[in-house]
Amino acid sequence: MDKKNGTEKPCLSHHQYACLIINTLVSISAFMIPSPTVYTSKQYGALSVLIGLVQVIVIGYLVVKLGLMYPDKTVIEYSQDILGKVAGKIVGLIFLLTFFSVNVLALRQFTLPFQAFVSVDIPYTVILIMTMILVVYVLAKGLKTLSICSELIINFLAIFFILLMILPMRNLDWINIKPLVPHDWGMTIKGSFLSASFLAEDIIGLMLIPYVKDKKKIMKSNQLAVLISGLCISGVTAVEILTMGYERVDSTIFSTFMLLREAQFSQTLERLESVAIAMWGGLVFIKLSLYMFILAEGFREWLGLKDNKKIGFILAPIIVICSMIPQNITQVVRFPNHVWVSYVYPIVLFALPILLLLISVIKKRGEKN
Amino acid sequence: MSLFNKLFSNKDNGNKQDKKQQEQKLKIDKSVDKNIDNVKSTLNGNFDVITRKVSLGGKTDQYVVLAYLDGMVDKTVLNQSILRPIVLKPVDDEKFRKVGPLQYVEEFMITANDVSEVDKFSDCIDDIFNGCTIVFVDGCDKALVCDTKGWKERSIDEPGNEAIAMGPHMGFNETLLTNVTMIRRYIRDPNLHFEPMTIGRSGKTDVVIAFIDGIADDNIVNEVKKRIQQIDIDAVIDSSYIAELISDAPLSPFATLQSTERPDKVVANILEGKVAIFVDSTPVVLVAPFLFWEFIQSPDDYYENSIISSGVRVLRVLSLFIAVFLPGFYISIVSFNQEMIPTRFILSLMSGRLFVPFSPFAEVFLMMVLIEILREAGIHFPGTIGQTISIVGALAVGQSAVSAGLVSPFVVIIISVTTLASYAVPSYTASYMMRFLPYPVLIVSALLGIYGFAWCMVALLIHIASLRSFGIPYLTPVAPFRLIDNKDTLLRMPRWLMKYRPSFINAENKKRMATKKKGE
Amino acid sequence: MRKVLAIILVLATLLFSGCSMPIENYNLVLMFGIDKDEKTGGYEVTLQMPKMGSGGEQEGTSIGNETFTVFGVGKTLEQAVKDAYVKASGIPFLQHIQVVIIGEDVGKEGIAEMVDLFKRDPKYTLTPWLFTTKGRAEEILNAELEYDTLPSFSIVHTVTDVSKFNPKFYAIQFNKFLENIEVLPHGALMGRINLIKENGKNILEISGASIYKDGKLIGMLDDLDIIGYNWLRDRYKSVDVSFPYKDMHVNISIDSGRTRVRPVIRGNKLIYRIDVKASGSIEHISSYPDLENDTSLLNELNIVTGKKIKSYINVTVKKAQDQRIDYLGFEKVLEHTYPELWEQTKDDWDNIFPNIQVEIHTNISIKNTGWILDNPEIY
Repeated sequence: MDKKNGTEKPCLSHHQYACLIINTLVSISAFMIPSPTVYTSKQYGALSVLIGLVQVIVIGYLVVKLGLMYPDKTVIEYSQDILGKVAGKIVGLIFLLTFFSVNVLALRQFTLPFQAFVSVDIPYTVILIMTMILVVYVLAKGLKTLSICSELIINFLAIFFILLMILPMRNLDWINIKPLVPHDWGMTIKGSFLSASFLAEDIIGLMLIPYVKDKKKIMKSNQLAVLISGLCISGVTAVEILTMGYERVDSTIFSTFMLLREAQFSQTLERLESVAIAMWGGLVFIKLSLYMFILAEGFREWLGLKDNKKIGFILAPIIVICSMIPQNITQVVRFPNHVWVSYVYPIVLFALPILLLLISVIKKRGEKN
Repeated sequence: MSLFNKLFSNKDNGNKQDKKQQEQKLKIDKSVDKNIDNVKSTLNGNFDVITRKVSLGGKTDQYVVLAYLDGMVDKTVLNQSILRPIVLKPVDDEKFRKVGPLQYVEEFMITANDVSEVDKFSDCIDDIFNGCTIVFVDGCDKALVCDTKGWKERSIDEPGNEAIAMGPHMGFNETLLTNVTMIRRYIRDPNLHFEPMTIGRSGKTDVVIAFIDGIADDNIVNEVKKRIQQIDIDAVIDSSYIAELISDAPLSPFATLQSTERPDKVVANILEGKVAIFVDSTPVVLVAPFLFWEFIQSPDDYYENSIISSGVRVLRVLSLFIAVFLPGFYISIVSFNQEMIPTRFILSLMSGRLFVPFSPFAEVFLMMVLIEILREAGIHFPGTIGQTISIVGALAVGQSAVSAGLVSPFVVIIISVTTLASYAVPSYTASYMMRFLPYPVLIVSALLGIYGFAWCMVALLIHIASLRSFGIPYLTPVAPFRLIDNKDTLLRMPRWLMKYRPSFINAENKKRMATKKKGE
Repeated sequence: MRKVLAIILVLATLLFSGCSMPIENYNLVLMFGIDKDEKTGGYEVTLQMPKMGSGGEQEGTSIGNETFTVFGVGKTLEQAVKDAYVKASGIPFLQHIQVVIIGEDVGKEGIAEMVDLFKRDPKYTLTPWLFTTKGRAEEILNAELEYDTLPSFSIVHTVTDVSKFNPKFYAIQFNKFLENIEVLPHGALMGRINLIKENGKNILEISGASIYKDGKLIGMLDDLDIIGYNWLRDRYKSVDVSFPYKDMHVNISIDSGRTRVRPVIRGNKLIYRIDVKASGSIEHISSYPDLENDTSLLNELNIVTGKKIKSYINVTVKKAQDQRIDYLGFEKVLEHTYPELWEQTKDDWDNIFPNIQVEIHTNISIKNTGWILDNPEIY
C-alpha cells in the first residue's frame, strides 16, 4: 500500500504513546535511581520516589496543557510563536541541548553494566557503535515501527516486574523499611528530587503530542504513564530496601542487577540477571531511539529543513563521539546527577514549561479581546 | 520450465512478432477449410491439435469443423454430445433457414451443456487451450465454443505437510475449477465473488481472486487487484511467483502472504474478510493480508477444545523462540557469561566439554551444518532408503559423535531441540524461514556474548515491527494493541466469544453472529 | 547502497570485538580458604576445585573426594589469588564459590580487605556461605574426606536443609553477613566449621558460631549458646526442645513460629520485648503419660516448653551482654522503630546495650502428638 516511512502526523494511538513514555521513563531509572536515592533518604527511599512522582504528575499536567494549546506543532515550532523569533529559537535550542545531553549520557550509561558485570570485557566502543546502528535503523523505519517495538517490549517489562516482586520473596525482611512514616521529612524530600528529575523526562511529550491521533485522551494517557512508571520505580526501590537493607543498596551502583543475581527462589531459579540485562538492553534501546527521533525532528524544525533522516544519519556519529568524552565512571554516573538535579531540573524541566504555558495563556486571552 | 515454454510459446522471436500481428488480424473465416488452415498455422502444426471435418447433419454442401487439443478434452462428451448429434441428426430445413446455420447447430443440434458464441479468432485459440472444442460452421463468421474440459487431475487428498488429526481432510489440487468449487461448497453466499484475471505473456495462467463482498475490506481487494494486474512475467508456475511479486517485503524471512493447501483455512480467512488468490495448475492458494500471529495458528485449534488449544498455541510460541534463539543463548553463556548459569548446571557442562577438540562456537556450528545436511538429504532421498537414512543420521549425529569425542552431549541435545522446535510450528513457510534465522544470532552471540544476543533480539524485533502486510502492521493485534482482536492470537477463546470479525479489516459488516448471550 | 554500508559497518565492528573465554579454559572454584602466611605476613589462599576428568562422565559415580586444591601466597589477597592462578590447571572461575572459610588468624586481624575485594571485584560473588575456623583454613580444604565427592555442596546442603532439624549451628551467606555487619553497631555472627577426627576419619563439623565486631573476629559461640540466637532470628523451621519434665523426657518438634523483637519505652527505661509464638508436635515422650484422657497435660507441656525456650534466649542475650557486643540486631530494630531515640543513643550503644532488660513472652502450642496418643506400658 503506501510505502511512506510512517511518520506523518498523527500516527500514534494514545495507548502507544503511553507505552513509549513508560518505557522511556522506566528504562534507566529502575536500574540506577535506587542507589543515589537511598544514599540521601536511607530507608525512606520508596517514599521519596513517590514524592518525586507527585511532582512529576504536576509537570505532566503542565506539559499536556501546553501541548494541547498547539496540537499540531512541537515545542520547537511554537516556542517561536509564543516568545518571538529570537527568544523562541533560544528556548528551542535549550530543549534540544537537553535532549542531546540525555542521549549522549544514556548511550554511555548503557555500556556500564556490560563492563561491570560480565566476566569478559567487550570494548565499549563496539557496544556504542552497534547500539547506534540499531537506533539509526529504527529511525529510518519511522516512529510507527518504534511504537510497535515499545508496545511489545512493555509486555516483557510487565513480566520482568512481576519476577522482581516474586523472586526475592523469601528474603524479605520487613523491618528494613520501617518506620513507615518518616521521622525526618527533610531527608525524604531531598531524596525525591533525583527521582523527580529522572521522571521529568516526561517533557518529551512536548515533542510527541502532535503525533498522537486522539488528542482528548492524551491527558489521561500521559498521567497514567507517569503514574505507572513512578510506581514501578518505587516498587523496585522498596523491594531492594526490603531485601538488602538500605546500606547495601546505597553502596552498590547497579542494585537491581545485584538483586536479581542474589535472589534465589529455588535450586534452579537462581542467578537470573541475564533477564535483567535483556530488559536493560530492550528498554534503553527504546529510550535512545525515541530521543534520537526527537532530536532529528527538533533539529529539522529548528533549522527549517525537510528531511529528518539525513539529520539522523549525521547526528549518530556525533553522539557516539560525544559519548566517549566522559573518562571514567564517576563522571558518567555521579557528576551528571548533580548537574541534572540542581540545574536542569528546576530550570528546563520545571520552569520553562510553566513560563511557556503562562505566556501562551496570556497571549490567547489577549487575542480573544 | 523450458518444456512448458517449448510447448506453449513460439520458437523464433522474430517470427513471434509477425505471428502475433497476424494472429490478431485473423478472423473467423466463412470457409471451414480456411479456418482449419488458420488453426493449424497458429498452433504450429503441433501433434496434439486435432481438427475434424464432418458434414452438417448429412448435408453435402455444408461442413462443420471441430478443433480441439487432444488430451485436454473429455472425449466422451465430445463424441456423444457434440459429434454424434451433428453428424447423425437430420436437419430440419425450415428451422434451418429461419435461424441460420450457427444458431441451428447451437440450439438444435449440440446437446452439450456449456455452449457459447465467439467472434474473435484469438478467443478461439485461448479457448482451445482451455480444453474447449471449437465448432466452425461453413458460411458463418462466428464460431461455437463448447466446454469439454476433461484432463486428468490429481485426487482430492489432504496435503502432506498441513495434515491435522481430526477435521476435514480435503486439499486443493491443480485444477482451478475444482478448488473454487470446494470454496463454494463451504460458503453458499451469493456475495462470494470470484474475479478472474489472466497473467503471463506466454503462460496465460488463470488467476481468480475470491472475497465476500461487504465483509472484505475494499481497499485491500483493490490493492490486490492492482498489484496482480501490474505483474509482467512470462509464465506463472506456482502461486509463489505471484507472492514474491506482489509482496510488501519479498526478501524478508517473514512471509506477508499466507500460502496454504487446505480449503478450510482459506474459507475461514475469507469469512474474516481477507482476500484469497487462486492460481491455476497449483494447489497452493494465497491469502492476503497475513499477520505474524497466524504462524502459530492451525486449523486443529479451532476443531478442538479451546482451553487446550490455547495451551498448545503458547507452546508453539515457545518453540518459535527456542528454534531461533537457543543456540545463540547457549554460545553466549558458555563463551562469555558463565556466571549466569546455576552452579550445578555449569559443572555438568564443563565435564561434558572436556575432551572436545573444538571451541564451543565451532562445535555448535558444525552440528548445525550437519543437521542441515541431514534435513536436505531427508527431503531428496528416495522413499525406500528414507528409513535407513534417518537411522544413520541419528546414529551418526547422536551417539557416535559424542562417543568419538567430537561434540559434547549437551550440544547434541540443544541442536536437536532446536531442530524439532522449528518443526513444531504448523506452517511450512515458517519452518523454512527458521532454518536460516538461528545462524546470524549464533554468529553475533559468539562474537559479543550476551550483549550480542540482546542485540539480535532487538534487531529481529525491529525488523518484524517494520513489516506491513497490505498496509496492516505485521504484529497486529498485539502491537498496535487491540483488546478485542486478542481473542484469537495467543489464546483461542471459545466460539461464542468470537462475535466480531477482526477490527483491522475495515468493512461495514463486522458481526459474525447475533450478539445474544449463550443460552438465550 | 545504504544497506550495504550498514552491513559492512556491522561486520567490521564485530571483528573488533572482545575475546571470548570458552568454558573449558575455566575451572570452577568451589571452596575458598583464606589464611595468613606466617613467613611473609601476607595472605595465603587455598582454592578447592573439582577434578575434571576420569572420562568426562558424571561426577556422582565414584565415592571419595574428587577435588584438588591449589594455594597461592601474596602480600595482598588479590595477589595471593593471582599467584594461585598460575598453579591451577585451568583459570579459576570465582563466580561460583559455594563456601568461604576464613582462618582464625585472618579473622583476628580483620576481614576488611576480603570484604572489599569480594564486594568490588566483578570476578567474585557475594553468595557463598561464610565460615570461620579455629586454626588454619587450608587444613579443612586439604582434608581427605571419605564420603563427600564435592565437600562444598555437602556443606551447603547441610546448612540449608539440616538447619530444620538441628539448631546448634548458625550459618549465613556473605551478602547477608555484610548487611548485618554494616549496620550499627557493626557486630554480626558467622558460621563456624571444624575438622574433627572420629575413628581415624576426617569429618567436617559445623557447630556454633563466630563473633565479629568491626570486621574482626573476637570470639566463638558454642552450640548450646547458639540455640537461643536461632530462636531470636527466626531461623528455625523445626527444632527439638528436649527437656526433663516430671521425670519424662519430651522431644518437641516445632513446625512453624515467629519471633518478634520490639523495643518498648517504659518511663525512662528502654526494654526489649521478645514475643515468641510457635506451634509444634510431640516427637517422643519417654514415660507413659495419659495423653488421651488428661487434657491439661498438653497445656502444661506448652508452659514448660515456653520456659525452656525462654531460658535459651536468656542465655544468648546474657552472653552477648557480657561480651558487650550487640550482635543480636537490637540496635537495628531500635533504628527502625524509634529513629529519634536511636539518633541519640547510637554513639553510646556499647554501654547501653549490656544494661538493657529483656522481657520474653512465649506462646507455644503443641498441636499434635504424632501417629499415636499413648504407648502401652508394656516395655
